[in-house]
Amino acid sequence: MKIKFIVIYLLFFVFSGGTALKGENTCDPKADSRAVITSGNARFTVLTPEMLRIEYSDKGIFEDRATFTIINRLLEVPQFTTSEDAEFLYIETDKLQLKYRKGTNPLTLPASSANLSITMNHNGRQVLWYPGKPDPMNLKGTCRTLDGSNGSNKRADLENGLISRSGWAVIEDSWTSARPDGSRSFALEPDETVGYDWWAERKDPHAMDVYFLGYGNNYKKALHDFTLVAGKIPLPPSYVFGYWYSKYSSYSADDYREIMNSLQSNDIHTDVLILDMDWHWNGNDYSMSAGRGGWTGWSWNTNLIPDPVGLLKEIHDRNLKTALNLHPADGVNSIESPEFFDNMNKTLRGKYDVKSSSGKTIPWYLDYTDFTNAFFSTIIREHESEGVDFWWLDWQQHLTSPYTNGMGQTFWCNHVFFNDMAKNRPEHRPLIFHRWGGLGSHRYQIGFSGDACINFPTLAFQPYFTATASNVGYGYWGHDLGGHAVTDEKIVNDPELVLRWLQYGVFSPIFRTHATNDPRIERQIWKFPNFPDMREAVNLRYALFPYIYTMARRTYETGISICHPLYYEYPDVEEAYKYEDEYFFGDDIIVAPIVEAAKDGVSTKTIWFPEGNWWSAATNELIEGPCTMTMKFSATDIPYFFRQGSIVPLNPASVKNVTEHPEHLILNVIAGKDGNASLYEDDGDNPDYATVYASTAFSQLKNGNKTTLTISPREGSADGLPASKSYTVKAYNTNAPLSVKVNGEATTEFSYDSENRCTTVEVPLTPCSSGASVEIEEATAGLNDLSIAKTRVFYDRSSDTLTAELGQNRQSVELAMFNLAGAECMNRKYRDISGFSEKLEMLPASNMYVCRIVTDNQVFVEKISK
Amino acid sequence: MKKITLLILVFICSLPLFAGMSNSIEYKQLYIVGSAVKGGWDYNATPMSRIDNGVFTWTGTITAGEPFKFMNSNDGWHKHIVATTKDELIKEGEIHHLDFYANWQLPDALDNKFRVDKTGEYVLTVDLRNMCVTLARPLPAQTYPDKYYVTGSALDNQVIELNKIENFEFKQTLACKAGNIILMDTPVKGENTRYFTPVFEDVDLAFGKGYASKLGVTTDAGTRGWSVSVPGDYILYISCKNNTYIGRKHVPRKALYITGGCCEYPWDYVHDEVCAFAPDPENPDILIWEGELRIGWVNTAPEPNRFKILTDKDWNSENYHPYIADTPAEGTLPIRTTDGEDSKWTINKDGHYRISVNTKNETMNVEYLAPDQVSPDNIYGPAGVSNAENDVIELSCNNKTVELIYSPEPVDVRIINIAGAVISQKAEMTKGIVAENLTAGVYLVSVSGASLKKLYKIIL
Repeated sequence: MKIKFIVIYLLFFVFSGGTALKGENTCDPKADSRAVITSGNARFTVLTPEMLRIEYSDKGIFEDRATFTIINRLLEVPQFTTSEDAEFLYIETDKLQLKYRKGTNPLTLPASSANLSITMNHNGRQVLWYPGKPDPMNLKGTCRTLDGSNGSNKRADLENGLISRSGWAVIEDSWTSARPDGSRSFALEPDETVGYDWWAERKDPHAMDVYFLGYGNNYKKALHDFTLVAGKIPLPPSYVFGYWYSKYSSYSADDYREIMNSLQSNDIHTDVLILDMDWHWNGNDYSMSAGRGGWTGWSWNTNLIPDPVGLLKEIHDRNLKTALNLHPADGVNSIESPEFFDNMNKTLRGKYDVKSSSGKTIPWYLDYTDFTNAFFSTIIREHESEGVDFWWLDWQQHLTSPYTNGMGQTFWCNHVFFNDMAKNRPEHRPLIFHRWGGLGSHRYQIGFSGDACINFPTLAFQPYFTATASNVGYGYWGHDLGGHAVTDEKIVNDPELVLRWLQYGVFSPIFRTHATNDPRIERQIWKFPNFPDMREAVNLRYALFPYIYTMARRTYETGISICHPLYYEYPDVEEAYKYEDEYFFGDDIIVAPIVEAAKDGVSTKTIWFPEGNWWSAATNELIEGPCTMTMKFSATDIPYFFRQGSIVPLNPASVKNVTEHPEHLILNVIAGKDGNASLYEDDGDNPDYATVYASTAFSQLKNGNKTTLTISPREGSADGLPASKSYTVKAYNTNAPLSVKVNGEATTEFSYDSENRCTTVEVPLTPCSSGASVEIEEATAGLNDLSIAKTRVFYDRSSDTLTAELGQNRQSVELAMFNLAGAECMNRKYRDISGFSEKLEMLPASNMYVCRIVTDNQVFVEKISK
Repeated sequence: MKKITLLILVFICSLPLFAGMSNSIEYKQLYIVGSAVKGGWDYNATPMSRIDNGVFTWTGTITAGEPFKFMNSNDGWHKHIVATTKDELIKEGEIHHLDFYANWQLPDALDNKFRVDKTGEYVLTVDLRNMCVTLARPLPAQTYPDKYYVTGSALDNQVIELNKIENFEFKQTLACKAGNIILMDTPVKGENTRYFTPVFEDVDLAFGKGYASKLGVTTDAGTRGWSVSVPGDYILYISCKNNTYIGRKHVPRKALYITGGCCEYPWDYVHDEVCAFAPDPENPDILIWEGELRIGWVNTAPEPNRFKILTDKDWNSENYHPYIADTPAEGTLPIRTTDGEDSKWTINKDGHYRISVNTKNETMNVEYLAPDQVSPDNIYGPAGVSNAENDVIELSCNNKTVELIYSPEPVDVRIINIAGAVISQKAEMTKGIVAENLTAGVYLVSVSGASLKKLYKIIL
């Protein structure tokens, strides 16, 4: 007999349909007891209506501490019911039904639903899950590195992500469940000796600890809720969104000075200058350090850089930030770094001192607190005091620790370096530049993707790879723009390839050129024949910064990375999955980068546009979705498209560092539809950005032939922000204006560019506390729509001709004529046309017909009388 | 902390050996070792079959009272999967925990083995993701039909007979809705109908690539079969040899690369301009390559008349290759994607070819367009040394020795084995021994001089 217990709790939603942390940025790994159901050696925690934690320990020992993946379980308790009968326990939320055979291990071998199952509705079907069920439809996440990436050969390396077309995904957080690098999810405990959470063994290392995510097609909620339990995606300091100059070469201090001079003299806006591994002794003749050092090093190569502090000061004086490359795996060596070695060895009282092939070495014991404290206090603090802003961790050796079974070197480096920076440099945001170390790595940004090959197919993989990483919250991959290693000498410095990679980089999270130490590879963009085009790309990146930074803040709040797949917004549309090299760049821009060589100077690309209207920045036209268009682009064109209704804040051309807070901004307004947007601003590096920031809301309202843009008073405050701002409003998709008002007053400070269909209005310097408005009255109401592709069909009885005007070029068109009995009387197919005419003489006269035209993804139906 | 100290000791003892080695568990292979199994203590003699990522099964005899454990690496006694207690007895139906140690010198205290108390045939299933193992008795041997039929809500309950490609496999492209797929041995469900099921109930039809998933057999008409979450085209494969199945969702490929000894850059995938296929603008499922193929275009090229097709710039990518090795590339041919054997197509004449690959139906159409401008010297020499006697080149081949008897001009001579390795080469010779003590087998002899370029196949 079924005994039913009903447990109902009130819901407190902060986000639409979601749950919230109790207190901003606070994490408590122990769940609310009201969300926990224990049945023998099994324990279930209802975290959200779609997310259940399933634990099983044959010792009855459960884990309430944080783990590498999960750091917070204290969520508002969702509504759910429990019931049981003699054999089964049932738990039911709004979305999921769990059935557990009491007294059993939920897992069977091979996996089956015999002991535990969860059912849910997905796309109108009941979907079954049980522990261990394979899922080939997972939408994937990311992988540790793109080292060796050639074409799409890394596709198979992508780990499972948190969303799936099956409707469910699983976080396997059991200690037994190795990540792809073989590492495990340890527990985390506060540790006073280091001042942040340290690893600990799991209470029952054989226990099952699984999170079931049954979010169906609500991918965005799945990712948001993941950040509730796994931590937010932090907001990196603003300078990381500028241009980085980076190249592995044995640069001397004078080389760096020359590079900085060249960047300046060629007017290449730059924010970061990277010092790759030859900053330290590397043991090679070519770097004047033969006999000293190697792959790992900690001491400046003073033959190349005699005055490191002076050089770093010069870098900072030019308003650049810098990072040093580290390959830490070989520990600290007495010949490469005698002072560091002696000091650490003294601190550690010789505990880890071992003889090595060259002198003595303290091996890399980062999994032990005494080593870690000695290492950071001896080496890292010193370099930080010299002016190093952040660290480029470049772990390439054994993936798990030789000292702690299952400890992932990548993840643990991320955790320790990031948290050390948070603790010891509290005036800055923590920042590392390292690889993906498995789930939970999203808390330690940003990513360095590694050594990809130089060719178009490898470039072509990166848009998909980068957007897909959003499926595990890893939203800040930084690629070696231009590629890293030579595969084909003919294209190693192909100006077109480098330009296209750079243009893609504008719309990627991190904008950094780099390549390996190969004299055949050029990464000084001012030396390329098409440098003006490359600089144009750099300028576009700097223009887009206010939008990018606003979207980075959105990432922090929502868990949705800046680059994310189209299927987040259109999960029910197959094209959103099929066109995988297209992606959203923030909320309002779709990018379809050119990733193939042009033919005869023209790049042709077939692009899918989702529902809605999209303003093509390259071709200045409004494109009506849904449709698929084959478009042609020149070398300088980048196919990116603004959502109609969007308001995109841009920097003026005068901004040379993204850390600047200009008094003037440009607002790109895509008119014709109501819309809202905002501008996020803060100090740029303040660690308390969760609460200390400013936000300015924008809205546009379409009313007849009037478009009104409202700039709301700025809310909040942050250091360094201007008190007043002026704006240049560029309203695209407008007709010639009859009149323009600024703040309610008629103005003549406007112009109209008929070619771009853009009305430009100047808004004078206005206190940010008071806001502003712009009203544009166009010549004729509704003329906007003239540019929107519409299908029109005409039948001319005198010539017995059916004519269709499709409004824009269509790749695939099918005409079918049906009689009133529903029988198809005629069928024609066309490709790549914008209109057609057909004689209908084969159709009997004096009849009604239904004409159906399918153009790409649109269906148009019209009746004609013959 | 004691445990940590122990681990430190264990690892420090073997530290030098760890340098540069992976310490990580791997989900791709697993072996049973021990005197309880036929393969004994040979660490990779008894591989298990992978049925999912990190999940393995093995069926065989286990001797009572004798120990066994598992090895995770195929490079030596390094990665051990062991019981959690010493001499652990495992019985049918029980699930036991496993521990993993990466250690070249695993201490006895950690090197725990399993044993059974009754000798017999067992099915062992190991799940490395959950670190557990279970033991079961094998099911009675099943017979499998000569014809399969698929139906189910994903097919609007239509019944489709699977295509059979000789005795290699059943293969069928299915246009599916969201729903389920049932596999059976009769065109109409009846009392005698048998249903064939996936290893994992209700698993998506796209599952199976890379795994050894043997079909189960049931007479339960209520079986769930496979599920289809996403509407679209799927390809279902059933091996005639192993009765294993693979499903995949068809996604039109954007790139293919021809590679082979008859290509301009032999066995290369870097040079897109000569190896990359181009999409057919009329049909997204078709990719077309057009270009020249020459037998032994480059003298040293192994397998000079063979080619296959890569799906990515990676030798480990899925290959398109023939069902039967050395099938002549002529006309319309089926493509095999499900087998690891590295078979290739062959050409028998140089020239311009157009190769159209339909990735949905997995077929290839080869058209020979026109003879090319190859000089006669580049034409593949007739097989057999005896034919060489008709040339100006005289080769001798006996007693495991290859000798150049006469050449009118100095030539470079190379001997290449069938794996493509150059095993002997001599430069600038007009006569003399090229190689001695060759083992029996088939070799290619490349002779190249200022005006001569010849390639011979010899059999020792």
